[in-house]
Amino acid sequence: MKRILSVVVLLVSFAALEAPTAHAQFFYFGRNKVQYTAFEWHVLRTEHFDIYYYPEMQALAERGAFFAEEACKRLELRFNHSLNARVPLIFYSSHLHFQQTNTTGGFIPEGVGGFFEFLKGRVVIPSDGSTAQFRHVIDHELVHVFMHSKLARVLTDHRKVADRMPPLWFTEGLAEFWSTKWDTQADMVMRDAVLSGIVVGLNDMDRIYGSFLMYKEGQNALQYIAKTYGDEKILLLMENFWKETSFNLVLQQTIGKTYKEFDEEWLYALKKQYFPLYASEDSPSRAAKPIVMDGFNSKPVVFEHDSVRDVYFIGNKTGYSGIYKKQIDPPEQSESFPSAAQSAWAQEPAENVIEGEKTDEFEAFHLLRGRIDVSKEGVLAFVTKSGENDAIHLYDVVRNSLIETFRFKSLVGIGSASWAPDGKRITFTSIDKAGNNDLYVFNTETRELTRLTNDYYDERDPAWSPDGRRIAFASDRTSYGTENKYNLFVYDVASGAIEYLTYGPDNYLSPSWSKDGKRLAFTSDAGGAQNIWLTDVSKDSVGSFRSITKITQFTTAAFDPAWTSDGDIVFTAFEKFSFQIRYLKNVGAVADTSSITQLIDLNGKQRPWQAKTLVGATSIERFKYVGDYSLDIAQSAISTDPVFGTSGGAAVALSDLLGNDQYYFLLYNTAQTQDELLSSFNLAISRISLKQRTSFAYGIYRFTGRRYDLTDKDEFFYERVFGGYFALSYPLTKFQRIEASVSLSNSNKDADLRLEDRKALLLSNSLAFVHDNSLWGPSGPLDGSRFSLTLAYTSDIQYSNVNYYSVIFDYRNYLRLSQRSAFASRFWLWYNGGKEARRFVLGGSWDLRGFPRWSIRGEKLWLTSQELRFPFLDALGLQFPFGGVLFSSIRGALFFDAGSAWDNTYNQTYGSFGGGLRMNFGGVLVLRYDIGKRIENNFARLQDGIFHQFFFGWDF
Amino acid sequence: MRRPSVMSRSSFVAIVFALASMSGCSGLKLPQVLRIDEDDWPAFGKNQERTNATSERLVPPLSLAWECDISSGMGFGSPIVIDSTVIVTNMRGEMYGLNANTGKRYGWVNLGEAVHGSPVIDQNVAYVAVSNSRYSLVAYDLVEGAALWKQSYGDVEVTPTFSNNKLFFGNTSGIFFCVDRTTGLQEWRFRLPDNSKGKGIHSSAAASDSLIIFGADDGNIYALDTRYSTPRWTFTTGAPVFASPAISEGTVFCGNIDGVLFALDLMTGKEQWRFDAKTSIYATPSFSGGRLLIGTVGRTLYCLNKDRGTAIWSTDLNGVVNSSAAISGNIAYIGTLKKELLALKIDDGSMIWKQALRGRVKTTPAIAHGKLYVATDDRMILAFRESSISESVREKGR
Repeated sequence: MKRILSVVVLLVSFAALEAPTAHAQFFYFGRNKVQYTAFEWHVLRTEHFDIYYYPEMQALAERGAFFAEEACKRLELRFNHSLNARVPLIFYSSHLHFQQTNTTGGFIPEGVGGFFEFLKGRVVIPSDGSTAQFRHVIDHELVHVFMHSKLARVLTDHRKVADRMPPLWFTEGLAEFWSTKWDTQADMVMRDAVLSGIVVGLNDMDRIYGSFLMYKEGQNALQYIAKTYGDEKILLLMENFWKETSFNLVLQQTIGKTYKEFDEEWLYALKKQYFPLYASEDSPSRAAKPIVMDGFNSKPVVFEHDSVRDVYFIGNKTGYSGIYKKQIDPPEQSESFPSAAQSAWAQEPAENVIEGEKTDEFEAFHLLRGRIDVSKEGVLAFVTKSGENDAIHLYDVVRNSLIETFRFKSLVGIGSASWAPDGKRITFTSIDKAGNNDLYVFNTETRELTRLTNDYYDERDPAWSPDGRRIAFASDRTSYGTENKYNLFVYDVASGAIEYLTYGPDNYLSPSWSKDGKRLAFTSDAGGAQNIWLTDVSKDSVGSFRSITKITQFTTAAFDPAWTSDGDIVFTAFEKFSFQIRYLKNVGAVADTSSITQLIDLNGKQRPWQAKTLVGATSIERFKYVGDYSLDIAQSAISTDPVFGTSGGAAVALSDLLGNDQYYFLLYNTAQTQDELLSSFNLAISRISLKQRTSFAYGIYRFTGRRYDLTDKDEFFYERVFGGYFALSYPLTKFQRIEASVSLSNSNKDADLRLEDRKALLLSNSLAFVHDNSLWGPSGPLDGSRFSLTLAYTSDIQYSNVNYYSVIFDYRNYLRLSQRSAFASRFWLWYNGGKEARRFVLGGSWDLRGFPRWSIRGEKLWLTSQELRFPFLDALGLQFPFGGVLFSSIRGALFFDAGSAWDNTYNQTYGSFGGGLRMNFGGVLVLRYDIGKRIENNFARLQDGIFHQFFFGWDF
Repeated sequence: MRRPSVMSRSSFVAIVFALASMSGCSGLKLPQVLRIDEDDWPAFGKNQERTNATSERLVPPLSLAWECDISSGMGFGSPIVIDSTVIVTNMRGEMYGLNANTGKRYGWVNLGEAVHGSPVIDQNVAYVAVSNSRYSLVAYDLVEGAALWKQSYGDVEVTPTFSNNKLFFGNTSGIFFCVDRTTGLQEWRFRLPDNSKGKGIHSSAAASDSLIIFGADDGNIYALDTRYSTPRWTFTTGAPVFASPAISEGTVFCGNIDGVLFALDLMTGKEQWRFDAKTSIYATPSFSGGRLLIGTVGRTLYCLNKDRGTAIWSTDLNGVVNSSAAISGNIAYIGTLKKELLALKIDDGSMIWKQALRGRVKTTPAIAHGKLYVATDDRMILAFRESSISESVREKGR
């Protein structure tokens, strides 16, 4: 306790150094955001923007600057509004670099393409190799910037508090609506939502809150409003925002309809639009055989051996992505009911061949990008994030063993991999530090890396032909590339020549050679939806027309085709908002009878698009970034209570624009009388640096005031302590780190009448190892494990009044039983020994349930908890005449706890068992209720009656 | 004998507190009646035709004479200046009276939630359209300091037009009203035809020769006889009309949000010419001789030949233009959302003076009695005078 204040300071520092997924009420777990890369930041200053970039990506930054200024002019017209403050844009040349940003404390998932944060008005955007997509994200985020500024202006002009925003469907829907056209991907999502019956109206948007479907529904709703009620209504929705606090009523003021009335009309219009598709198209489930249906599944590839056809794919069923395997054909064929047998087989779970996202080696899979491939010899090539960059792994699927991993220093992100028929070379796409995504060939034997393209065009999905002479790939290197359209090309391995396979304003992606090399299957959205097409590549098409044939006609989408040796195609199908693996038999025959063909005219090709920059067009400044600090938070508070009296003060936080350097200031006073005023000032100043891989913090503090020692009953005392500390955190991987700290504090403690005063000059040192690869559910971890071992030593180096050591061991394991249930185990051993060793506390809803909170105290402590976690109620809705409320994800638990705490003599073991419920509110607060029985008298008897405990907090 | 009462200390404090509180209460009562002369700027756009031009000469450079905090942003309506009094309304629903020479407040009154346009003032009565409030049209006697009447006509976000002793205005539900100025009672109303999509009226009408002209969100420009509700003519522009029309020499000029400016015959509505300014027009044109000035959201100020609609010059003002230029002789004064007030020569569009401001300018400046008055969105009314007169008075806000 005597060091609780300094520990609090250290805790604050560790919390800031700490990985931001620390959901538990105990701060010391969590994953790590590793600063692998030493970025040397520069600033490009344009008319409206300060663009932060690093020198390797200067050309990309200049392109981005051009897009940003263009977007600014365009959005001024849309919003009828000017930005009057410069906007900081922070660019990264790849998503892997973007994931290291300190502008946000949280982890950035793979699907996040950029963000705008309100604290400093920063826009943070990565490139993924595609210039058109980079531009789209810039436009999208700048819509947010303009909207935020516009609404603040509208509210301020009307003297309303400018702290509210429209609902997320509007915010994101507008950002999409005003930054991009309605494309086939958007249409795919809406078609599926309407045809599957999962579309929701504005009134029920909370059901799909934050999802990609919400983005697209929002975009569609605004598109509908503009088309039906007039473009001007979109701006009027913002101009009228001040009139009502409910956006439902703002909508009513603007178009004369509430959410409910609008939904009736809009949803009906969607049905009218999409249901007629069934006249000529089918759902994938009606037209293609299922292989894998549950979870997320993509990028299939087929390996055939001993008459067995296995499909390997990237999947995510449990929350961890990985490589999965499933036989295409059911092991037991049913001649009578082949379809039923296939459907039943599709329900069987796929085998998890490689489990990712638990170790540094397979830190993250890129679910939506990057195909995998398997050679004739059964070597699977796949890509994961592995440390700082992506790596290519080779896995023997016959022997089920990892063969080798290849890392390339100059390459950051890696896309699809494809084997050459010789089984030695691999072609793949990769983003370098400049942000260019180009084609490469790597010889796994000689280790030679050859770059095939080197420009700002975006290459994707390379596929080596069976004869080894050509590599088919998709690229935006046409005049349509500025509209984010990809066409297919062929690279001649011998000559290096690149030839067009397709040319046009549609998308052509994911080429896949048939085993005989005569046909190429690919994905195209020609005709309005993504489907699978074929083209005969045995015929020369240079300077002539190319015929392509459609072989799927789905209402939603099919992509990533992969051939089998007997002419079937396995592919990913999108339906009911899930990605499934399905297959078509005898595709050749399907193609021969398909009536949907197109002729692509390759004669009228125009020059590929050329990048534009601001350089030379407008005056711009460039300089090195040295630090741009601004206030984050300034807050004051006054508190009073009958025990400790009144205290008041303020806290201020500053940080630099990139979030790498943070300063915290705390000042408050606890004086109870006037003559205590000067002596009762409390102060803490901390600096936290997150710029490098080793994060560190240091600071000074002075704390003074009355304290209550939690670890001893009824001990009040007055303490003055001042000193300083230094702490560092070194992440070994995303999942493991080492922490160390040292502090020196002068403590002067005036205890109450029963105890003596105590002075001490305390030197505290600690060293800790932390591991966390847990996966979280609604109320706590469900998979993975967490482990922490801390060694600490504290001594009074002046008066020898204190001298103790600490060992804290905390191990937690989560055995996944099913998608939503797990068996959780915890074991603690906390040990303090020495002079004036502190006590630990036990008891309460967070550890030894059934016992009063902190009622068991001792210098040594052990605890074990075993808990079965399972879903209890998926949703509980209450509908009142005036409205309703929905509680979702109510979880259940059955538990057993045992433990004890003692000083020198072990007295007894305590225990309890029972069951409980947990409910998550808004992702922030978990309420918990437990009932059960205590095991008392050293496990000799059960408690009379039962205990109830209601509290808050995440599961351990 | 009754002993005189002695005030207790607590009572004294209570009275002082009450007096202090009451001094912060609102009230607008002008010290003298308003007498209009030709140098006033007595209406939105200077007059009911909205020509935005004064015969008074105000030559830049200008310097700040005074500024006054009016506690909230202003809409698109300009300050009204009559007889050394400035009347402004704001988007908090308040109407202020200021001394035009010093900027000192005579007082203020709250009339509702928000006022987006300018008041109309006649015979010391201000007629104010109020938005999102129980009463949407209020008649307030500026000398008596009291409301004469209040009426409800839906949500009104325009400046009323005063013509033939009547008030004309449209609301956001697409209904246009003619109201008796004495009682506030409706005389007739006109509904936008086929208005199933809830199109409103955001354009303040202009009046001339017993015709009342306004644009609507349905893309039409309507001309109504001030006596009847049936339109004399309707012109379809193809895109919503938010701007207020202006009338000059028998021609109606009005732009739409597609950026097309139309010139129509006042009596017949026949198109005389159109000019494509490419980006949205929210402002009313201003006139100087045979020239017309119009600013656009695309930052451009155009000078056109008023009779033919051909461009004489155009200039990039480096900021979105939502308001009209105020014309004084050969000088056009215009503000932008880039927080700048500019003076340009109408001859050739050259900029001869620029003043950086703390707030955006969405309102048309008013020029009267040797000063230029402009409102900025940081809640301020600024008065500028020619720099040869170096006087400056500042009024702090509440």
